Amino acid sequence: MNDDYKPKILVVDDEPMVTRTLEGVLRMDGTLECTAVNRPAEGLDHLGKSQFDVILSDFIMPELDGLEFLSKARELQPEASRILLTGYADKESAIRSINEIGLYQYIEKPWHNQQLLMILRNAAERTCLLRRLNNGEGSDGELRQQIWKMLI
Amino acid sequence: MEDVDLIMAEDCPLEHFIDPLSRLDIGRRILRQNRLSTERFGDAGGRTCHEAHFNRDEPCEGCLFQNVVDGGRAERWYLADRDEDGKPPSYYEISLIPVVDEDGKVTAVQEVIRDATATVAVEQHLIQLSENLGHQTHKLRKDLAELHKAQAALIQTEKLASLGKLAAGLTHEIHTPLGTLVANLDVLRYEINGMKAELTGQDGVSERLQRMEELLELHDMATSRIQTIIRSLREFAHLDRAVMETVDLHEGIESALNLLTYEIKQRIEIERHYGKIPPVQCRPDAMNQVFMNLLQNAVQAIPDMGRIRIATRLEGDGQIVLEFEDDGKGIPADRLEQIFDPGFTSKPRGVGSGLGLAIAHQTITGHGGTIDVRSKPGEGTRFTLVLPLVQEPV
Repeated sequence: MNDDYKPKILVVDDEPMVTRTLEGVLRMDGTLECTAVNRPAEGLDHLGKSQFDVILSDFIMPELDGLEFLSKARELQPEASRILLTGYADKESAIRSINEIGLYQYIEKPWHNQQLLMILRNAAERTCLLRRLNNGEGSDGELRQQIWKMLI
Repeated sequence: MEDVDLIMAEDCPLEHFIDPLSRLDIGRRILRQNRLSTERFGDAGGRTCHEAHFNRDEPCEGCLFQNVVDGGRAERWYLADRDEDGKPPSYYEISLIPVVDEDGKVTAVQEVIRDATATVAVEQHLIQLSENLGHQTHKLRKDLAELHKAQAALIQTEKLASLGKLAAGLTHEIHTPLGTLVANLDVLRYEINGMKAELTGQDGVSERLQRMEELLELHDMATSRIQTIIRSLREFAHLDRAVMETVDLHEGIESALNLLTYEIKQRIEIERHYGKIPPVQCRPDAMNQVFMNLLQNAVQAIPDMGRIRIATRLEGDGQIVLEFEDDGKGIPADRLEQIFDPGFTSKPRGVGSGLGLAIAHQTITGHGGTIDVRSKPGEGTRFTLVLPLVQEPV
Protein backbone atom coordinates (compact mmCIF):
# COMPACT_ATOMS: atom_id res chain seq x y z
CA MET A 1 0.00 0.00 0.00
CA ASN A 2 1.21 3.44 -0.88
CA ASP A 3 2.20 5.28 2.29
CA ASP A 4 0.33 8.41 1.29
CA TYR A 5 -2.76 6.53 0.33
CA LYS A 6 -5.62 6.80 2.81
CA PRO A 7 -7.89 3.75 2.55
CA LYS A 8 -11.53 4.70 1.99
CA ILE A 9 -14.07 3.41 4.46
CA LEU A 10 -17.82 3.53 3.87
CA VAL A 11 -19.82 3.46 7.10
CA VAL A 12 -23.55 2.71 7.04
CA ASP A 13 -25.64 2.84 10.22
CA ASP A 14 -29.17 4.15 10.61
CA GLU A 15 -28.18 5.78 13.90
CA PRO A 16 -26.52 9.20 13.43
CA MET A 17 -25.17 8.70 16.93
CA VAL A 18 -23.05 5.83 15.64
CA THR A 19 -21.99 7.32 12.31
CA ARG A 20 -20.89 10.57 13.90
CA THR A 21 -18.97 8.66 16.55
CA LEU A 22 -17.20 6.52 13.96
CA GLU A 23 -16.34 9.62 11.95
CA GLY A 24 -14.78 11.00 15.11
CA VAL A 25 -12.83 7.83 15.82
CA LEU A 26 -11.49 7.64 12.26
CA ARG A 27 -10.62 11.34 12.27
CA MET A 28 -8.71 10.83 15.50
CA ASP A 29 -6.79 7.95 13.96
CA GLY A 30 -6.08 9.92 10.83
CA THR A 31 -4.95 7.02 8.65
CA LEU A 32 -8.34 6.25 7.11
CA GLU A 33 -10.80 8.30 5.12
CA CYS A 34 -14.39 8.00 6.25
CA THR A 35 -17.66 8.44 4.44
CA ALA A 36 -20.61 7.84 6.72
CA VAL A 37 -24.29 7.63 5.78
CA ASN A 38 -27.47 6.77 7.65
CA ARG A 39 -29.41 5.13 4.84
CA PRO A 40 -28.30 1.97 3.01
CA ALA A 41 -29.61 3.42 -0.28
CA GLU A 42 -27.22 6.35 0.13
CA GLY A 43 -24.43 3.87 0.74
CA LEU A 44 -25.23 2.08 -2.52
CA ASP A 45 -25.20 5.45 -4.31
CA HIS A 46 -21.69 6.11 -3.03
CA LEU A 47 -20.57 2.63 -4.06
CA GLY A 48 -21.91 3.30 -7.53
CA LYS A 49 -19.89 6.49 -7.83
CA SER A 50 -16.51 5.88 -6.21
CA GLN A 51 -14.25 3.10 -5.07
CA PHE A 52 -14.10 2.04 -1.40
CA ASP A 53 -11.70 -0.31 0.34
CA VAL A 54 -13.82 -1.27 3.32
CA ILE A 55 -17.58 -1.25 3.84
CA LEU A 56 -18.71 -1.23 7.46
CA SER A 57 -22.41 -1.76 7.98
CA ASP A 58 -24.83 -1.95 10.89
CA PHE A 59 -26.95 -5.12 11.05
CA ILE A 60 -30.49 -4.03 11.83
CA MET A 61 -31.65 -1.07 9.76
CA PRO A 62 -35.21 -0.17 8.76
CA GLU A 63 -34.91 -0.05 4.96
CA LEU A 64 -32.40 -2.74 4.19
CA ASP A 65 -30.71 -4.92 6.78
CA GLY A 66 -26.96 -5.12 6.98
CA LEU A 67 -26.70 -8.51 5.29
CA GLU A 68 -28.85 -7.45 2.33
CA PHE A 69 -26.95 -4.21 2.01
CA LEU A 70 -23.57 -5.95 2.06
CA SER A 71 -24.77 -8.50 -0.52
CA LYS A 72 -25.67 -5.64 -2.84
CA ALA A 73 -22.39 -3.93 -2.04
CA ARG A 74 -20.58 -7.09 -3.00
CA GLU A 75 -22.17 -6.97 -6.45
CA LEU A 76 -21.07 -3.37 -6.91
CA GLN A 77 -17.56 -3.66 -5.51
CA PRO A 78 -16.61 -7.32 -5.02
CA GLU A 79 -13.05 -6.55 -3.92
CA ALA A 80 -14.00 -4.24 -1.06
CA SER A 81 -13.83 -5.94 2.37
CA ARG A 82 -17.19 -6.15 4.10
CA ILE A 83 -17.61 -5.80 7.85
CA LEU A 84 -20.78 -6.16 9.89
CA LEU A 85 -21.10 -4.04 13.05
CA THR A 86 -23.90 -5.28 15.24
CA GLY A 87 -25.48 -4.91 18.65
CA TYR A 88 -27.57 -7.98 18.03
CA ALA A 89 -27.00 -10.73 20.54
CA ASP A 90 -27.50 -13.64 18.16
CA LYS A 91 -23.89 -14.44 17.48
CA GLU A 92 -24.61 -17.71 15.72
CA SER A 93 -26.67 -16.30 12.88
CA ALA A 94 -24.15 -13.50 12.46
CA ILE A 95 -21.31 -15.98 12.15
CA ARG A 96 -23.33 -18.01 9.66
CA SER A 97 -23.76 -14.90 7.56
CA ILE A 98 -20.01 -14.36 7.54
CA ASN A 99 -19.75 -17.56 5.53
CA GLU A 100 -22.86 -17.02 3.46
CA ILE A 101 -22.10 -13.58 2.10
CA GLY A 102 -18.35 -13.59 2.51
CA LEU A 103 -17.93 -11.13 5.35
CA TYR A 104 -14.41 -10.13 6.23
CA GLN A 105 -15.28 -9.57 9.89
CA TYR A 106 -18.06 -9.33 12.40
CA ILE A 107 -17.77 -6.74 15.17
CA GLU A 108 -20.02 -6.48 18.20
CA LYS A 109 -21.23 -3.25 19.72
CA PRO A 110 -19.93 -1.83 21.95
CA TRP A 111 -16.68 -2.08 20.02
CA HIS A 112 -13.17 -1.38 21.17
CA ASN A 113 -11.75 1.53 19.18
CA GLN A 114 -8.21 0.23 18.74
CA GLN A 115 -9.50 -3.18 17.74
CA LEU A 116 -11.90 -1.66 15.27
CA LEU A 117 -9.15 0.48 13.72
CA MET A 118 -6.86 -2.50 13.40
CA ILE A 119 -9.56 -4.54 11.70
CA LEU A 120 -10.29 -1.67 9.31
CA ARG A 121 -6.60 -1.29 8.39
CA ASN A 122 -6.19 -5.04 7.82
CA ALA A 123 -9.36 -5.13 5.77
CA ALA A 124 -8.09 -2.26 3.62
CA GLU A 125 -4.79 -4.03 3.14
CA ARG A 126 -6.56 -7.18 2.03
CA THR A 127 -8.57 -5.18 -0.50
CA CYS A 128 -5.43 -3.57 -1.94
CA LEU A 129 -3.77 -6.97 -2.23
CA LEU A 130 -6.78 -8.35 -4.06
CA ARG A 131 -6.82 -5.41 -6.44
CA ARG A 132 -3.15 -5.77 -7.21
CA LEU A 133 -3.61 -9.45 -7.96
CA ASN A 134 -6.60 -8.75 -10.16
CA ASN A 135 -4.62 -6.13 -12.01
CA GLY A 136 -2.24 -8.84 -13.12
CA GLU A 137 0.59 -8.14 -10.72
CA GLY A 138 0.95 -11.85 -9.95
CA SER A 139 3.25 -13.40 -12.57
CA ASP A 140 2.03 -17.01 -12.39
CA GLY A 141 -1.67 -17.38 -13.33
CA GLU A 142 -2.21 -20.55 -11.34
CA LEU A 143 -0.67 -19.10 -8.20
CA ARG A 144 -2.87 -16.06 -8.59
CA GLN A 145 -5.92 -18.27 -8.69
CA GLN A 146 -4.84 -20.01 -5.50
CA ILE A 147 -4.25 -16.81 -3.62
CA TRP A 148 -7.54 -15.45 -4.88
CA LYS A 149 -9.33 -18.56 -3.59
CA MET A 150 -7.53 -18.31 -0.28
CA LEU A 151 -8.49 -14.73 0.19
CA ILE A 152 -12.15 -15.15 -0.67
CA MET B 1 -86.56 -59.32 96.51
CA GLU B 2 -90.00 -58.42 95.32
CA ASP B 3 -88.69 -56.04 92.73
CA VAL B 4 -86.64 -58.80 91.22
CA ASP B 5 -89.66 -60.88 90.69
CA LEU B 6 -91.51 -57.88 89.39
CA ILE B 7 -88.94 -57.04 86.74
CA MET B 8 -88.73 -60.56 85.46
CA ALA B 9 -92.37 -61.47 86.03
CA GLU B 10 -94.38 -63.06 83.27
CA ASP B 11 -96.37 -59.86 82.80
CA CYS B 12 -93.39 -57.56 82.83
CA PRO B 13 -92.83 -56.02 79.37
CA LEU B 14 -89.15 -56.91 79.63
CA GLU B 15 -90.18 -60.57 79.42
CA HIS B 16 -90.88 -59.86 75.75
CA PHE B 17 -87.87 -57.60 75.24
CA ILE B 18 -86.20 -57.73 71.82
CA ASP B 19 -82.84 -58.91 73.26
CA PRO B 20 -82.00 -61.70 75.69
CA LEU B 21 -82.11 -60.51 79.31
CA SER B 22 -80.68 -62.30 82.32
CA ARG B 23 -80.62 -61.47 86.00
CA LEU B 24 -77.30 -62.48 87.55
CA ASP B 25 -76.27 -62.70 91.15
CA ILE B 26 -73.06 -61.03 92.14
CA GLY B 27 -71.22 -64.31 91.53
CA ARG B 28 -72.19 -64.18 87.80
CA ARG B 29 -74.74 -66.95 88.18
CA ILE B 30 -77.97 -66.65 86.28
CA LEU B 31 -80.99 -66.13 88.49
CA ARG B 32 -83.63 -65.56 85.88
CA GLN B 33 -83.99 -65.21 82.10
CA ASN B 34 -86.55 -63.61 79.84
CA ARG B 35 -88.23 -65.59 77.13
CA LEU B 36 -85.74 -64.79 74.39
CA SER B 37 -82.80 -65.74 76.60
CA THR B 38 -84.40 -69.07 77.34
CA GLU B 39 -85.11 -69.62 73.66
CA ARG B 40 -81.57 -68.74 72.69
CA PHE B 41 -79.55 -70.29 75.55
CA GLY B 42 -81.94 -72.82 77.05
CA ASP B 43 -82.71 -72.90 80.76
CA ALA B 44 -79.52 -71.47 82.17
CA GLY B 45 -80.56 -71.01 85.78
CA GLY B 46 -77.63 -71.46 88.16
CA ARG B 47 -74.99 -71.43 85.44
CA THR B 48 -72.55 -68.60 85.03
CA CYS B 49 -73.16 -66.13 82.23
CA HIS B 50 -69.93 -66.89 80.36
CA GLU B 51 -70.70 -70.58 80.48
CA ALA B 52 -74.35 -70.29 79.51
CA HIS B 53 -74.01 -67.63 76.84
CA PHE B 54 -70.58 -68.19 75.34
CA ASN B 55 -69.52 -71.70 76.30
CA ARG B 56 -66.55 -70.47 78.25
CA ASP B 57 -64.97 -71.76 81.44
CA GLU B 58 -63.56 -68.38 82.42
CA PRO B 59 -65.16 -64.92 82.40
CA CYS B 60 -64.95 -63.34 78.95
CA GLU B 61 -62.00 -61.07 78.11
CA GLY B 62 -62.72 -57.48 78.91
CA CYS B 63 -65.71 -58.32 81.10
CA LEU B 64 -66.85 -55.37 83.19
CA PHE B 65 -69.08 -57.36 85.55
CA GLN B 66 -66.86 -56.78 88.57
CA ASN B 67 -66.77 -53.03 87.88
CA VAL B 68 -70.54 -52.96 87.96
CA VAL B 69 -70.68 -54.87 91.22
CA ASP B 70 -67.94 -52.74 92.84
CA GLY B 71 -68.90 -49.39 91.46
CA GLY B 72 -72.65 -49.69 91.33
CA ARG B 73 -72.68 -48.12 87.86
CA ALA B 74 -73.99 -49.55 84.62
CA GLU B 75 -71.42 -50.55 82.01
CA ARG B 76 -71.51 -51.48 78.35
CA TRP B 77 -68.86 -53.34 76.40
CA TYR B 78 -68.35 -55.29 73.22
CA LEU B 79 -67.35 -58.87 73.05
CA ALA B 80 -65.92 -60.58 69.98
CA ASP B 81 -66.96 -64.22 70.02
CA ARG B 82 -64.76 -66.25 67.73
CA ASP B 83 -65.72 -69.62 66.35
CA GLU B 84 -62.85 -71.98 66.16
CA ASP B 85 -63.21 -72.67 62.45
CA GLY B 86 -61.82 -69.25 61.55
CA LYS B 87 -65.04 -67.62 60.47
CA PRO B 88 -65.37 -63.89 61.11
CA PRO B 89 -66.25 -63.33 64.76
CA SER B 90 -69.69 -62.40 66.00
CA TYR B 91 -69.96 -59.26 68.08
CA TYR B 92 -72.13 -58.70 71.11
CA GLU B 93 -72.94 -55.52 72.90
CA ILE B 94 -73.26 -56.43 76.55
CA SER B 95 -74.92 -54.02 78.94
CA LEU B 96 -74.77 -54.62 82.66
CA ILE B 97 -77.09 -52.68 84.95
CA PRO B 98 -76.68 -52.97 88.74
CA VAL B 99 -79.66 -53.79 90.89
CA VAL B 100 -79.17 -51.85 94.14
CA ASP B 101 -80.83 -52.32 97.52
CA GLU B 102 -81.90 -49.61 99.96
CA ASP B 103 -78.38 -49.33 101.40
CA GLY B 104 -76.93 -48.80 97.94
CA LYS B 105 -75.43 -52.24 97.82
CA VAL B 106 -75.42 -54.13 94.55
CA THR B 107 -77.44 -57.25 95.01
CA ALA B 108 -77.75 -58.41 91.45
CA VAL B 109 -76.86 -57.40 87.89
CA GLN B 110 -79.20 -57.16 84.97
CA GLU B 111 -77.55 -58.28 81.75
CA VAL B 112 -78.65 -57.39 78.20
CA ILE B 113 -76.96 -59.17 75.32
CA ARG B 114 -77.46 -57.57 71.94
CA ASP B 115 -76.10 -59.09 68.75
CA ALA B 116 -73.99 -56.28 67.33
CA THR B 117 -72.31 -58.20 64.51
CA ALA B 118 -74.11 -56.21 61.81
CA THR B 119 -73.42 -52.88 63.53
CA VAL B 120 -69.77 -53.72 64.03
CA ALA B 121 -69.49 -54.84 60.41
CA VAL B 122 -70.94 -51.50 59.30
CA GLU B 123 -68.63 -49.69 61.67
CA GLN B 124 -65.63 -51.57 60.40
CA HIS B 125 -66.69 -50.87 56.86
CA LEU B 126 -66.97 -47.18 57.78
CA ILE B 127 -63.54 -47.22 59.37
CA GLN B 128 -62.16 -48.87 56.24
CA LEU B 129 -63.88 -46.29 54.06
CA SER B 130 -62.60 -43.46 56.20
CA GLU B 131 -59.08 -44.88 56.01
CA ASN B 132 -59.35 -45.17 52.24
CA LEU B 133 -60.65 -41.65 52.13
CA GLY B 134 -57.68 -40.57 54.21
CA HIS B 135 -55.30 -42.26 51.79
CA GLN B 136 -57.02 -40.67 48.84
CA THR B 137 -57.00 -37.25 50.45
CA HIS B 138 -53.31 -37.66 51.19
CA LYS B 139 -52.65 -38.67 47.59
CA LEU B 140 -54.70 -35.75 46.30
CA ARG B 141 -52.79 -33.39 48.57
CA LYS B 142 -49.55 -34.78 47.21
CA ASP B 143 -50.80 -34.49 43.63
CA LEU B 144 -51.89 -30.94 44.34
CA ALA B 145 -48.47 -30.07 45.74
CA GLU B 146 -46.88 -31.62 42.65
CA LEU B 147 -49.21 -29.59 40.46
CA HIS B 148 -48.29 -26.44 42.38
CA LYS B 149 -44.65 -27.22 41.77
CA ALA B 150 -45.24 -27.92 38.11
CA GLN B 151 -47.19 -24.70 37.85
CA ALA B 152 -44.39 -22.83 39.57
CA ALA B 153 -41.91 -24.32 37.14
CA LEU B 154 -44.10 -23.39 34.18
CA ILE B 155 -44.48 -19.84 35.40
CA GLN B 156 -40.74 -19.75 35.87
CA THR B 157 -40.02 -21.12 32.41
CA GLU B 158 -42.39 -18.55 30.99
CA LYS B 159 -40.73 -15.85 33.05
CA LEU B 160 -37.28 -16.95 31.93
CA ALA B 161 -38.38 -17.03 28.32
CA SER B 162 -39.72 -13.49 28.60
CA LEU B 163 -36.61 -12.42 30.46
CA GLY B 164 -34.55 -13.93 27.66
CA LYS B 165 -36.51 -11.99 25.05
CA LEU B 166 -36.30 -8.86 27.12
CA ALA B 167 -32.57 -9.31 27.60
CA ALA B 168 -32.01 -9.87 23.88
CA GLY B 169 -34.01 -6.77 22.95
CA LEU B 170 -32.51 -4.70 25.72
CA THR B 171 -29.01 -5.78 24.84
CA HIS B 172 -29.47 -4.74 21.25
CA GLU B 173 -31.07 -1.43 22.15
CA ILE B 174 -28.45 -0.54 24.73
CA HIS B 175 -25.46 -1.59 22.68
CA THR B 176 -25.84 1.23 20.18
CA PRO B 177 -25.77 4.12 22.67
CA LEU B 178 -23.25 2.25 24.78
CA GLY B 179 -20.98 1.75 21.77
CA THR B 180 -21.21 5.46 21.12
CA LEU B 181 -20.32 6.34 24.71
CA VAL B 182 -17.38 3.97 24.88
CA ALA B 183 -15.97 5.01 21.52
CA ASN B 184 -16.36 8.72 22.18
CA LEU B 185 -14.51 8.56 25.46
CA ASP B 186 -11.39 7.66 23.48
CA VAL B 187 -11.95 10.54 21.10
CA LEU B 188 -12.60 12.96 23.95
CA ARG B 189 -9.42 11.89 25.69
CA TYR B 190 -7.54 12.34 22.45
CA GLU B 191 -8.96 15.84 22.02
CA ILE B 192 -8.21 16.79 25.61
CA ASN B 193 -4.64 15.59 25.22
CA GLY B 194 -4.41 17.73 22.11
CA MET B 195 -5.69 20.77 24.01
CA LYS B 196 -3.31 20.05 26.83
CA ALA B 197 -0.37 20.21 24.48
CA GLU B 198 -1.56 23.48 23.01
CA LEU B 199 -2.82 25.26 26.11
CA THR B 200 -0.31 24.30 28.80
CA GLY B 201 0.78 27.29 30.78
CA GLN B 202 -2.36 29.37 30.31
CA ASP B 203 -4.06 30.48 33.53
CA GLY B 204 -6.54 28.04 34.98
CA VAL B 205 -6.57 25.90 31.86
CA SER B 206 -4.54 23.01 33.16
CA GLU B 207 -6.77 22.74 36.26
CA ARG B 208 -9.81 22.58 34.02
CA LEU B 209 -8.15 19.99 31.83
CA GLN B 210 -7.25 18.02 34.94
CA ARG B 211 -10.90 18.00 36.02
CA MET B 212 -11.99 16.95 32.56
CA GLU B 213 -9.61 14.02 32.71
CA GLU B 214 -11.00 13.01 36.09
CA LEU B 215 -14.47 13.12 34.64
CA LEU B 216 -13.32 10.93 31.79
CA GLU B 217 -12.07 8.41 34.33
CA LEU B 218 -15.49 8.41 35.95
CA HIS B 219 -17.17 7.98 32.60
CA ASP B 220 -14.88 5.08 31.84
CA MET B 221 -15.90 3.40 35.08
CA ALA B 222 -19.56 4.10 34.44
CA THR B 223 -19.56 2.70 30.93
CA SER B 224 -17.68 -0.41 31.93
CA ARG B 225 -20.21 -0.89 34.73
CA ILE B 226 -23.02 -0.72 32.18
CA GLN B 227 -21.18 -3.21 30.02
CA THR B 228 -20.84 -5.59 32.95
CA ILE B 229 -24.53 -5.34 33.75
CA ILE B 230 -25.54 -6.01 30.17
CA ARG B 231 -23.16 -8.94 29.96
CA SER B 232 -24.56 -10.32 33.22
CA LEU B 233 -28.08 -9.95 31.97
CA ARG B 234 -27.24 -11.88 28.83
CA GLU B 235 -25.27 -14.40 30.82
CA PHE B 236 -28.06 -14.74 33.34
CA ALA B 237 -30.89 -15.20 30.90
CA HIS B 238 -28.64 -17.42 28.80
CA LEU B 239 -30.93 -16.39 25.99
CA ASP B 240 -31.11 -19.61 24.03
CA ARG B 241 -29.39 -22.00 26.39
CA ALA B 242 -32.11 -24.00 28.14
CA VAL B 243 -30.37 -27.33 27.64
CA MET B 244 -27.88 -29.21 29.78
CA GLU B 245 -24.42 -27.73 29.75
CA THR B 246 -21.26 -28.11 31.72
CA VAL B 247 -20.64 -24.72 33.28
CA ASP B 248 -18.64 -22.89 35.91
CA LEU B 249 -21.06 -22.30 38.78
CA HIS B 250 -18.99 -19.38 40.08
CA GLU B 251 -19.81 -17.48 36.90
CA GLY B 252 -23.51 -18.01 37.51
CA ILE B 253 -23.20 -16.80 41.11
CA GLU B 254 -21.26 -13.74 39.98
CA SER B 255 -23.78 -12.83 37.31
CA ALA B 256 -26.58 -13.06 39.89
CA LEU B 257 -24.53 -10.86 42.25
CA ASN B 258 -23.98 -8.36 39.45
CA LEU B 259 -27.70 -8.11 38.88
CA LEU B 260 -28.17 -7.48 42.60
CA THR B 261 -25.50 -4.75 42.76
CA TYR B 262 -28.13 -2.09 43.26
CA GLU B 263 -29.64 -3.88 46.24
CA ILE B 264 -26.32 -4.87 47.75
CA LYS B 265 -24.76 -1.43 47.34
CA GLN B 266 -22.37 -0.57 50.12
CA ARG B 267 -24.51 -2.04 52.87
CA ILE B 268 -23.80 -5.71 52.40
CA GLU B 269 -20.38 -7.26 52.36
CA ILE B 270 -20.05 -10.27 50.07
CA GLU B 271 -17.62 -12.83 51.41
CA ARG B 272 -16.49 -15.33 48.78
CA HIS B 273 -14.96 -18.61 49.85
CA TYR B 274 -14.76 -20.19 46.43
CA GLY B 275 -13.12 -23.58 46.43
CA LYS B 276 -11.65 -25.29 43.42
CA ILE B 277 -14.68 -26.88 41.81
CA PRO B 278 -14.80 -28.42 38.36
CA PRO B 279 -17.45 -27.35 35.83
CA VAL B 280 -20.83 -28.85 36.68
CA GLN B 281 -23.35 -30.35 34.32
CA CYS B 282 -26.68 -28.56 34.74
CA ARG B 283 -29.29 -26.34 33.16
CA PRO B 284 -27.48 -23.03 33.56
CA ASP B 285 -30.57 -20.85 33.26
CA ALA B 286 -32.38 -22.72 36.01
CA MET B 287 -29.26 -22.89 38.18
CA ASN B 288 -28.67 -19.15 37.86
CA GLN B 289 -32.28 -18.60 38.86
CA VAL B 290 -31.61 -20.61 42.03
CA PHE B 291 -28.57 -18.47 42.87
CA MET B 292 -30.60 -15.36 42.17
CA ASN B 293 -33.49 -16.49 44.39
CA LEU B 294 -31.22 -17.46 47.29
CA LEU B 295 -29.13 -14.29 47.08
CA GLN B 296 -32.17 -12.09 46.75
CA ASN B 297 -33.68 -13.68 49.85
CA ALA B 298 -30.40 -13.16 51.68
CA VAL B 299 -30.27 -9.50 50.65
CA GLN B 300 -33.87 -8.96 51.71
CA ALA B 301 -33.25 -10.68 55.04
CA ILE B 302 -30.64 -8.08 55.95
CA PRO B 303 -32.40 -4.93 57.08
CA ASP B 304 -29.36 -2.68 57.46
CA MET B 305 -25.70 -3.51 57.26
CA GLY B 306 -24.74 -7.14 56.92
CA ARG B 307 -22.76 -9.87 55.34
CA ILE B 308 -23.46 -12.63 52.85
CA ARG B 309 -21.07 -15.53 52.81
CA ILE B 310 -20.84 -17.74 49.74
CA ALA B 311 -18.77 -20.89 49.99
CA THR B 312 -18.17 -23.62 47.44
CA ARG B 313 -16.24 -26.84 47.69
CA LEU B 314 -15.80 -30.24 46.13
CA GLU B 315 -16.49 -33.13 48.48
CA GLY B 316 -14.54 -36.36 48.45
CA ASP B 317 -17.48 -38.24 46.96
CA GLY B 318 -17.46 -36.00 43.90
CA GLN B 319 -20.37 -33.81 44.99
CA ILE B 320 -20.37 -30.04 44.88
CA VAL B 321 -21.41 -28.20 48.02
CA LEU B 322 -22.60 -24.60 47.79
CA GLU B 323 -23.43 -22.54 50.86
CA PHE B 324 -25.30 -19.25 50.92
CA GLU B 325 -25.34 -17.70 54.35
CA ASP B 326 -26.61 -14.35 55.56
CA ASP B 327 -26.54 -12.72 58.97
CA GLY B 328 -30.03 -11.31 58.54
CA LYS B 329 -33.16 -11.69 60.59
CA GLY B 330 -33.49 -15.46 60.24
CA ILE B 331 -36.55 -17.68 59.97
CA PRO B 332 -38.62 -18.82 62.98
CA ALA B 333 -38.42 -22.58 63.60
CA ASP B 334 -42.15 -23.12 62.99
CA ARG B 335 -41.86 -21.64 59.51
CA LEU B 336 -38.70 -23.41 58.50
CA GLU B 337 -40.56 -26.49 57.33
CA GLN B 338 -42.83 -24.52 55.05
CA ILE B 339 -40.33 -22.35 53.27
CA PHE B 340 -39.98 -24.69 50.29
CA ASP B 341 -43.76 -24.92 49.83
CA PRO B 342 -45.08 -23.14 46.77
CA GLY B 343 -46.93 -20.02 47.73
CA PHE B 344 -45.22 -19.60 51.09
CA THR B 345 -43.87 -16.12 51.61
CA SER B 346 -43.08 -13.96 54.59
CA LYS B 347 -42.52 -10.93 52.44
CA PRO B 348 -45.05 -8.12 52.07
CA ARG B 349 -47.58 -8.48 49.27
CA GLY B 350 -45.99 -7.74 45.93
CA VAL B 351 -42.43 -8.33 47.10
CA GLY B 352 -42.29 -12.11 46.93
CA SER B 353 -44.14 -14.51 44.70
CA GLY B 354 -43.73 -17.27 47.26
CA LEU B 355 -42.23 -19.37 44.50
CA GLY B 356 -38.55 -18.55 44.79
CA LEU B 357 -37.56 -21.29 47.20
CA ALA B 358 -40.06 -23.77 45.77
CA ILE B 359 -38.39 -23.27 42.41
CA ALA B 360 -34.94 -23.55 43.98
CA HIS B 361 -35.97 -26.78 45.68
CA GLN B 362 -37.43 -28.21 42.51
CA THR B 363 -34.43 -27.23 40.41
CA ILE B 364 -31.90 -28.67 42.82
CA THR B 365 -33.76 -31.94 43.40
CA GLY B 366 -34.40 -32.09 39.66
CA HIS B 367 -30.63 -32.07 39.23
CA GLY B 368 -30.31 -34.98 41.65
CA GLY B 369 -29.15 -32.71 44.46
CA THR B 370 -30.40 -31.57 47.84
CA ILE B 371 -31.14 -28.21 49.39
CA ASP B 372 -31.23 -27.72 53.14
CA VAL B 373 -31.82 -24.75 55.35
CA ARG B 374 -30.66 -23.84 58.83
CA SER B 375 -31.78 -20.70 60.50
CA LYS B 376 -31.90 -18.93 63.83
CA PRO B 377 -34.03 -15.85 64.31
CA GLY B 378 -31.77 -12.88 64.86
CA GLU B 379 -28.64 -14.71 63.71
CA GLY B 380 -29.21 -15.54 60.08
CA THR B 381 -29.94 -18.27 57.59
CA ARG B 382 -27.81 -20.73 55.72
CA PHE B 383 -28.84 -22.67 52.63
CA THR B 384 -26.70 -25.65 51.72
CA LEU B 385 -26.91 -27.06 48.22
CA VAL B 386 -25.37 -30.38 47.29
CA LEU B 387 -25.11 -31.16 43.59
CA PRO B 388 -23.73 -34.08 41.64
CA LEU B 389 -21.05 -33.18 39.09
CA VAL B 390 -22.72 -35.09 36.31
CA GLN B 391 -26.39 -35.75 35.66
CA GLU B 392 -27.61 -39.33 35.53
CA PRO B 393 -28.79 -40.13 32.00
CA VAL B 394 -32.59 -40.16 31.93
